[in-house]
Amino acid sequence: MIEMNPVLPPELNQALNSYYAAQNPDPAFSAHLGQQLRQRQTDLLLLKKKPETKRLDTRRTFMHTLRTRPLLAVAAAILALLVLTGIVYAVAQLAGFIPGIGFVKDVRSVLQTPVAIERQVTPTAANESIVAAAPTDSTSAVTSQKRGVITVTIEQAVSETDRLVIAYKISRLPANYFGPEYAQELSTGSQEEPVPDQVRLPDNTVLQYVSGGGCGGAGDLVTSWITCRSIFAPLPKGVNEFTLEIQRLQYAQPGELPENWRIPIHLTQVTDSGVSGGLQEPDLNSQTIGGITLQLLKVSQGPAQTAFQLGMKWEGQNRIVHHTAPITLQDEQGRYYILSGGPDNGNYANNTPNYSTLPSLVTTPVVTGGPLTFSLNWIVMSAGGQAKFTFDPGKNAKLGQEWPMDENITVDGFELHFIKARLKESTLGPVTLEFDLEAPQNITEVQLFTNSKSFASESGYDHERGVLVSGVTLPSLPVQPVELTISDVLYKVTGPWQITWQPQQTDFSAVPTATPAPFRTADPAPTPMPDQPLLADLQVLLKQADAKDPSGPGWVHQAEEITQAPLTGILDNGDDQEQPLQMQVDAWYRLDENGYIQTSVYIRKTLDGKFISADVNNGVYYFSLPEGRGSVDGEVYLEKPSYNSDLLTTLNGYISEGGTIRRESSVLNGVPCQLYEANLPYDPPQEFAGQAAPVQATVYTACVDPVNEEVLQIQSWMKYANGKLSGKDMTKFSPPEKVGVLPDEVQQLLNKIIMP
Amino acid sequence: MTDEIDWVEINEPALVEGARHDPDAFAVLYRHYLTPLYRYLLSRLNNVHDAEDLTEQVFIEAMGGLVNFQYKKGGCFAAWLFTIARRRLVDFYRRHKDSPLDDLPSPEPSLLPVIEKGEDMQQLGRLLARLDEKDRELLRLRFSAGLSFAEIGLIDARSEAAAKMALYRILDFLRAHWEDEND
Repeated sequence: MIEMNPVLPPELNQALNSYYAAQNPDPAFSAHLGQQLRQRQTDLLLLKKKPETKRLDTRRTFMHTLRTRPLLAVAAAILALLVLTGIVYAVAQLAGFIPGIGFVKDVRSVLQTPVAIERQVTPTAANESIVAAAPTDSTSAVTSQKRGVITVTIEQAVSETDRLVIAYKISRLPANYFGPEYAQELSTGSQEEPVPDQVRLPDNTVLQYVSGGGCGGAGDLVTSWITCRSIFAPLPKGVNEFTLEIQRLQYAQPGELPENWRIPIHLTQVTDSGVSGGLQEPDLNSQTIGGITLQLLKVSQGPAQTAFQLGMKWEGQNRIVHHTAPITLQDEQGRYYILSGGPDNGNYANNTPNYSTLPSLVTTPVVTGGPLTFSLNWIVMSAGGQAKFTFDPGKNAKLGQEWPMDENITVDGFELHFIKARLKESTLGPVTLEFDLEAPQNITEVQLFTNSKSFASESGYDHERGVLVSGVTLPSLPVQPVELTISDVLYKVTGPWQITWQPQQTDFSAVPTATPAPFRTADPAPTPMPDQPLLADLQVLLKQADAKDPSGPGWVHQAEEITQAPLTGILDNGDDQEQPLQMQVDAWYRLDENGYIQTSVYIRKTLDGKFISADVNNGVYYFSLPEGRGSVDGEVYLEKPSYNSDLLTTLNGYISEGGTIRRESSVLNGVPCQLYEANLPYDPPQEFAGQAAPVQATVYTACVDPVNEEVLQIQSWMKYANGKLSGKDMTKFSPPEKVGVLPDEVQQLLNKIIMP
Repeated sequence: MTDEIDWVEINEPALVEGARHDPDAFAVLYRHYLTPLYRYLLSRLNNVHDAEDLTEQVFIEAMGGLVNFQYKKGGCFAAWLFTIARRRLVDFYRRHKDSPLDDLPSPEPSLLPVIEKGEDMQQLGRLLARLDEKDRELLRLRFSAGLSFAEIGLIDARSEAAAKMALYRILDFLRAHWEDEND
């Protein structure tokens, strides 16, 4: 209950609550937004996936962070896609796809040459750290280096009949600008509100900013940048000159960076001659499976990329696409094109409830004359209907109590048989009311709610018990019957849906090509915290080991054997393939002459050699099997291989989180080693997904051979509050070795990918 | 009170940390904050379509912010989310009203469809119209968004005690004048 003091008259109390809290969001809107967020985050995380990720961390996402928090991760370059697509690209078309802008139609005029304006940061108390950390302009041709200069570059502007879109980049921000130290003020609630960008016409008219745009931050260890896509009401016909006004740069605190930017822009009229890319509207449909049809709506074949817009339509009331497997694109030989997300978002409208467009997809220029095939392996649909039922736990319900049930409920044609209920503690909250169900095999989740008193539900298949589980949080132990609503039943429809598309023959020899991939900057090695002599000692040891590692150029191979402790109580929603607890990981690195990774390949197999999965990364693009989906990698700086799972960074992370470290002499398989043990306590103990009991501490150990300086083995485990220990995760390393000829399986994997 | 938001102790730091990497964890935060955020935005905008539009924008920005480490570990997620919401509201007003910031329109007096439902609501509408915008915002954060005083304090850059006192003062005003009107 909301605390009320002074005591209000009941009528006033009632009126206040009716007035302020009467309406809930529309369930269709809630479901769609939830699905959209899930899809976006999945895509964003795919972009972020680091090349050195050898382990499959999807099954233990909560714990992974705690065990191996890399300090450098906060310097991650994010949304590099925007950077790559923000390149200047000649537009000579009335319709098509423009990097950084998206699909366009009825273009009147465009920007021919980028406009850049730079301004010096005036030192103030608000930006002391910015000026100190700002990168110098080492790439500039000017003789003196500049510090504390911010550049805004209008990379593209497109005037269409129904909107004006401007893509710009703010560059030369300090490294790690999006790290926690700069985010502090936002998280504690700054009151100063930035004014949205606006466009001022020569007659002083201001164009309205309209929704749909946005900004993304990115960076590496040298500098950071922000790319923005602002959308405005259309320019009046014949007007091609205007001023973009930016009061405060995105994400900047008041007074931190130069403000009140005025950037004059001049657009050039577009004619329909010299079309590059253009817009095709093939309107191709896949076969209909389970009432769902995939559609190819738009294609643009440009000199720098090919872009696609797909959509989906389906049958049935109260049904909506919840999320899907990645869409893949293959040529006749089965080679994969890497599809990255474009700037256009998917769109779902309440007035067309059985139809949705998907976010645009971008790949390289199509080089084959043969047909290409889009594939989508599965779709998870949500069925609504808001079926209700009541569960009576009696008056003395206790945590851990179970009740047998035999209740059948039909939701939108799906028959659910509730067979057991229980009250338990969980990571979601103090009291979770959980049900075991028997349900048709294709159902992956049943989401429950109890009016507004529950804030979270979780559902999925419990393989240990062989039942579907659906839980909902309660504010406290129930003392009366609980009214429950089944808000969503998620079910998986298995394809594949396929669309075969015949590319047009194109000749782009006369038009400019894209800017090459961004400059990749070397990633400096992490430095241990100065007050940790043990880490300093370890750093010396590891440096000696590094000196003996194979140097470039060429391929280097390292094998690891990984054992993972089983997790308990993890519900399977059917999205990820099941992983074995033991696997062999073969890592292959193509190094340049300075030892930086140009391409990395990771192949995971069971210990008896059965393929599990693979990742390929060339520093700009990322690709994984068996998903068959690639993307632009999120981190464009060069790295050297870590042959010890970034041991020093991990131990640093434990210390910075408040942990301790110690060292002792030990023996591993008859080999003497120095055992480093980091311990990170939790006070009070915390519940973590997959762990059998509240966790009091995590422990991480590394056995380092003091003679050969090699890291022999790493282990990590949990100490529970009940005094017991979790199972141990373990990684055994073999020494890296230089390879003259790549094995066939690696070469075949590389040949499967059309990777720029 | 029938439809208020009950705040339950959740392991929010672990959820937020998990939400950086795990769509399932973010989905929990989404479900937790969807209704409060939507109600707050609806109370500011008085239009379902606009409230949905801004709810979408705020969650997308928050999700991106978490993934991109723009949210400081150990911060207050609710305060951060509603700070984003207020920024997007300012954007919205700028776009639609072209009015200076301190003249932000107050939707309360125009909530006629609600007010027309009964005498009590009409009476409340009259009293709310006598409050200044800052006080109405405090009521929205407390009653529509269901935020704690500590969270309101973070958003409004004041202490928890100051937020509590300010709200009690407003409620006291409402109570006193409610009774006056009924006398």
